[in-house]
Amino acid sequence: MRILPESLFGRLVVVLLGGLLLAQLASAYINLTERGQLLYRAGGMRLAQQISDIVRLLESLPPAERRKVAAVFNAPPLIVSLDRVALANDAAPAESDLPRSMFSTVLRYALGDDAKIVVLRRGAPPAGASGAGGPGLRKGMMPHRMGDAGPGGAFFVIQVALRDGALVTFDSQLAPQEAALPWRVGLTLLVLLLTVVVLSLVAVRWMTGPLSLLARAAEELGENIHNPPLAESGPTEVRRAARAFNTMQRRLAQYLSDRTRILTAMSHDLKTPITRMRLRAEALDDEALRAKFVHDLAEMEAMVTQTLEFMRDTSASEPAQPVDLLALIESLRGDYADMGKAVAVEGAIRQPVHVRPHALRRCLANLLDNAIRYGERATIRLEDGAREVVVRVLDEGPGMSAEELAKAFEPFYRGEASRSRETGGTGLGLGIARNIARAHGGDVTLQNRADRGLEATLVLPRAAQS
Amino acid sequence: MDDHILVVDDDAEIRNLLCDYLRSNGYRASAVADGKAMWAALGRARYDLLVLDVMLPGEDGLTLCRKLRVETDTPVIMLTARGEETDRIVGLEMGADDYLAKPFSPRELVARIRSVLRRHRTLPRNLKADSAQRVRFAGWTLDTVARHLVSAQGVVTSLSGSEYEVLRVLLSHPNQVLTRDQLMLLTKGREADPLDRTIDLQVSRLRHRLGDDLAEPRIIKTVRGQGYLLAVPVELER
Repeated sequence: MRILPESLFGRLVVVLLGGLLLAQLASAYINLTERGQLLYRAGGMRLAQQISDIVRLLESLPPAERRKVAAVFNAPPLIVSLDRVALANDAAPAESDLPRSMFSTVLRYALGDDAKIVVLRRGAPPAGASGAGGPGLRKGMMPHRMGDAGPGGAFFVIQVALRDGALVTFDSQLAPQEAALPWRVGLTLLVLLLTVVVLSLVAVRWMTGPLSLLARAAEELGENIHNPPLAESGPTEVRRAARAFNTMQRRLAQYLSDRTRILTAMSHDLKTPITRMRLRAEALDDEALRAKFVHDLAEMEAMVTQTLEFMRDTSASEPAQPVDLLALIESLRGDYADMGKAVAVEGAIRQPVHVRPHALRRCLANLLDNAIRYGERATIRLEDGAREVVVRVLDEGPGMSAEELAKAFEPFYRGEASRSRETGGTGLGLGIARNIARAHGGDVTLQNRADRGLEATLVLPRAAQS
Repeated sequence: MDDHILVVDDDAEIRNLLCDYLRSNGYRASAVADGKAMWAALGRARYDLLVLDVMLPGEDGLTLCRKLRVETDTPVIMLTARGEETDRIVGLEMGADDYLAKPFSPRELVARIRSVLRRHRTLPRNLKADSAQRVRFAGWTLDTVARHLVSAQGVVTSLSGSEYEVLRVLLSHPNQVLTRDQLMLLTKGREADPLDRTIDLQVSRLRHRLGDDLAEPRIIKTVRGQGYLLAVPVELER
């Protein structure tokens, strides 16, 4: 099971919220404890005062009257009884038993130092002390504890000896001051909680915005190395990342353009010497030798021309426009017919497709050249769709082995059949076709047909490409 | 008298080799290295055709071609090392009669020279029509830069090379009957033999492409026993 959420936002919320909740609980605990103790003390003082008042009153009455008066005062949480046995005063109150020591101090102060007072503390109300936990106790949300045994508060038994030796015993419950968690505290917590969530959301969006921008830029880099550089703004870390990214993109573009320039210049500069050699070859008397020269030079020329074409950025030179794809394919068929090569067309495409006409023509011509070169005859099968159009170029040649299929799009790769049969071709045609298709948002794929031959599939999306 | 050809190319080796080759093919040939020398040569002698390299020191071949067109209708074949679509297009626009990409085959060049000269002598050039960038007719626009048709709805409708050539010639000579021989010569640079149906086939394909009624064509009409005629008004746009 995952402990931390996946997103940065989730993690930040968890950390902030967790921390805040802990801090809130701790401070609430401290505050409530303090408050409870104060209330408890105040309650103890009042009880001691009450007891001392009753003791003084009983003192002034004859023994016969005392029982009546005691009955009057006998009301929870204080139970007054006059006929209990003497209680042994156990050990001196421990320092830690704050209520008890405080209690006896107050009583002694009220009744005089020589008064005989026994204060005992019990964990539970004594048998018969029915008043404990009675109606006098306020019910709260959460009982507050201060080392007391039970939820009912602290029970004290106080025995005071009157001057004539009679014992008055008080069973009392020092009502726990139930410091209820007030609704305000809850509300405060809720407000804080919401604030934290909203703030984290804002902070995360703010901080991760550039991050997702960076991610998108990296993705787009794969499609177009010449994307405009990222804005180098925002927090230091983001700025630095953007700058690093821009530097990387610049270097990549520089590297690519250097390579392209070298290859283009080489190919270009080869044209003049090839032209000269062609003219020289024409001056040769040996007919067979001249034919060989011309053939070699034609190959070199094809290599140069195709390389330049491969290197050229087709998307830059021509705008995309609505094109009657069927007319384009039929015009290609016309061109092949003029060269004495038959191309069959099956199916139709009725609605215009948004493409760059010359680039697409080159793409299809390359696929057809391949089909005719290796597969004797070419058939074009058209599939019209709402989202995309599919153009299949089928041949009846030997097809390709799996290994050849995998390498077919690599620049300058030529299949065995191509090399051994001197069919010509440079090994760039398919690559050029695929580049053009991809620049249109589509693709070219190759597969062997079920019975015999190869099938090149060109898929073009109908949606307008930028 | 043999046709006199002037070669303008900055590569000395190519100049010499090309002149030798042209001479061995029965032409008279001279060569110069740049535009300045070209104007000087044109001042001294009359030439039947120019072979002009696009990449020249000083004024480039395209500029020279445009200036040439103002003074003379001597046919021009442009040579370029770039071999890109735009070069050919701009070259033709500047008034060149044909275009060849380096490294060209010398035999191809001689074939083109022969064809251009023949064409030039068959029909007078329609300079205005030949240098138009767009030709409008019957709701269609022929884009001579991109070499395709654009329909009234703005949809690109491609043409094969031969279809384009035939349509281009017809549009350059509207309301003028062109014989099969003339069309053949103007588009292919050779005469048609009596049984050749090439032109008929191209015209029929063109009618289909233009949506013309095949039984009763309205745009490209057949003139029985003579040839074809473009029967709609043509509007040129430079």
